[in-house]
Amino acid sequence: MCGASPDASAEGRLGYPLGVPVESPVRREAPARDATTVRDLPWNVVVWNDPVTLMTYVVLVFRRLFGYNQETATRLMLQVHNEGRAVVATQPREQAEVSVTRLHAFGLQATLAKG
Amino acid sequence: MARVRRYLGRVEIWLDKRERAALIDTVEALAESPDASGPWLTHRAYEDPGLDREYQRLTGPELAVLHEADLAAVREDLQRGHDRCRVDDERALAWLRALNRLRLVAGGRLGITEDGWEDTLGPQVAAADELAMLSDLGWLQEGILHALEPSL
Repeated sequence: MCGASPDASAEGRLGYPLGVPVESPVRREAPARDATTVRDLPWNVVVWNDPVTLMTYVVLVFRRLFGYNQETATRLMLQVHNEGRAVVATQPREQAEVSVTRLHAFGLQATLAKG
Repeated sequence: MARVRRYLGRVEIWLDKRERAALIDTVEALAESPDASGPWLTHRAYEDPGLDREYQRLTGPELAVLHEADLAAVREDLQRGHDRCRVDDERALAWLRALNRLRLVAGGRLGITEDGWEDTLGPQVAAADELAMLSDLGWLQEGILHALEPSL
């Protein structure tokens, strides 16, 4: 054997104490796809057109809230304007809801939809 | 004519006495609007009515406080009585949100529902005070947006 013996008090990379016997792993059924998994599915943040809000304002909001560059923010704004709506972000539900609230704070029409 | 510029890292909004008075009148005319729940001021988040009700319950009061704070910021800055109003970027964003909300109220009152409305104005709409307000607020908003660009 080369090198030092395992120190019983030291921990391995997975957190087991080295040099201490451990039980063999037991195979278990994978957990069913539950509400937690469903909640973590991505949701789309959708912005809808309105005929009053200035286009330049929408671009600024996209840049401020999502960190987009001018080109991306302008492309999304034009998609909203021309097609009536655009998906501006895809995020876990909780985060998507925060994004929608922030868009509402800026006065934009925004909704969440399952991705 | 109102001027807006970026100067030493801040946004300067120049409004003379007459312009400030006109803007205060506009704010008061639109902010206390009985149609404050107009078509562009309500924000649905979910298609599902139950989820949306819960969303409104959780976020509605917070958004109402924010809208009121934005308007209060604009009122306060206008009532200082100075031609030059110098604000940081966060305050400029509050101005933008407030002006946008006022425009949405004006748009609702004018019955604007579709893009291209500028080309199909009826005589009654063309003569309405709200149309001038919409235009003036938009002009000021554009100035602030331009002044904020370097900070993005």
